Amino acid sequence: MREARNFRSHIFRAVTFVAVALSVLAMWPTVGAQAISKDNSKLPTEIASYAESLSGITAISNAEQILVSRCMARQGQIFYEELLRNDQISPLFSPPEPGSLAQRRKDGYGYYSVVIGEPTQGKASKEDSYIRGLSKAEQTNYERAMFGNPNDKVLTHLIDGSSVYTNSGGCFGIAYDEIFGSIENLVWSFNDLIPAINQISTLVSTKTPYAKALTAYGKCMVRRGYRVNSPEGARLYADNFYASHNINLATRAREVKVAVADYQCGASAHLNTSFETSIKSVWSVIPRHFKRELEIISTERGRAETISMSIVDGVTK
Amino acid sequence: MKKSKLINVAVVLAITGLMPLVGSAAFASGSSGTAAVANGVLVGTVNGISFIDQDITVVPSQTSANSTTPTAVPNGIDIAGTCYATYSCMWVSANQVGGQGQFQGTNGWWGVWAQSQCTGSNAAPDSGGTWNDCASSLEDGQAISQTFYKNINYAGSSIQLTSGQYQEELTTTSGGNLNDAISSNQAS
Repeated sequence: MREARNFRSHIFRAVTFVAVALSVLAMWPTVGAQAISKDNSKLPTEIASYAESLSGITAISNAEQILVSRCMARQGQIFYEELLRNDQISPLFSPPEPGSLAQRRKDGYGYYSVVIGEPTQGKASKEDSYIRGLSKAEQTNYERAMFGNPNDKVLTHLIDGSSVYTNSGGCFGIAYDEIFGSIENLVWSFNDLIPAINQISTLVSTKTPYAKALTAYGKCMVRRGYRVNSPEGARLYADNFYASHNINLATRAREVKVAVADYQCGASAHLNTSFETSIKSVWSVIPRHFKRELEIISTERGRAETISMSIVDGVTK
Repeated sequence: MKKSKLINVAVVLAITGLMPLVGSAAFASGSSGTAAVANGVLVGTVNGISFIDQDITVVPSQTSANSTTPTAVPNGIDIAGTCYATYSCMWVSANQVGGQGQFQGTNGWWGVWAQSQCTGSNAAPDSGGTWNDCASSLEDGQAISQTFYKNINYAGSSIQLTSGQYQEELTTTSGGNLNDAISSNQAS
């Protein structure tokens, strides 16, 4: 096992306001692969845009599938690649934002619909059916071809201090090398997006107009009977209604009430507009080492998307 | 290293009786869950948990409205202790130890999957013997990336794993402590 070079600083271990990140993401437009901004103050929004970029996410996923399929074929293995269209995937961060008060009045956060409609068992994929038909030894060989030796793994620290192991061998290892250049770049490009946005959101939520808006939001929610201080808190509060498996229309009615109050308090507190104002000035309070990390994430993600689109275009043209 | 370690764990659990009959512990819901179309009555049970709807007609076995990859095939514990190719896996304890479950595709609520070890100190109090708010380590063995969310319906704090990645513990993440807190996952 190797450990990636530890020049990633472990910053901002404090609990973050993820809901803020989700709110931000809901506001930013979907964009494709981007060049690195000359104006670094725009990096926070660019980082988030990568997470919202359906074309970028699709390109990377499809490029991986294409490269793995080629590699598996070279090894005499069959791989049923799953090429996706933009409309088949969701952003890396996909808060179930109803988008309108009417929708919230109808279905709350959508929890009830998911809980009552969630299948316990689904349909086997072509790939799964194929692998299930292999002998145990063949399955082991297949897995080795796909991910390599289990010992070929890299431990990489994320910018939030957590860590992730990545199997660096096999056909996926080869695909990652071609698309990202290294496992560490893969982690910068992929795994560090959420931590980066969380940290940006934490900064935006501190000593900015948005922080004041959150305070107003919390007071509004208290008046409505809910002791939550953020949209994330409201969602979690409603989520817990289902924890005891009290799945009935009364629970859904409670969820709808919270979701409607959340929407209305967010609007009256001007959460979205105040966030837009705050995000524009957040660069000035971002620590230097975090700025550097954002630059790396943006660089590596942009490069990976460009390479991936080239691979996909080479197949489709 | 990972495989041999997990095989050992599986053996130990089997010997000590912590691991019930092979194939019945993790996602027993696949075999014990029932569902029926109804109007104003019991509409389904999952491992003894009743889903009651009072005045609407639903079809619980339908694919989730938000599901992007309707291929969830929870099919029980992996006897080899490995994360079987084409599946993502979760474990009751950190470092890929303890009861193991596996799944495919996008799943909006892990509460439909029973896990007998998701009780007491192994899970959040609201887990109710299911994978909801129970996982302590994760692996993406699928050929597609996954985002794991704290809340039902892909909301709240999250972490991401791409194919061949695994996270040995979930207590320190940018989304705060996600140990015994994951409720849904989305393939992308």
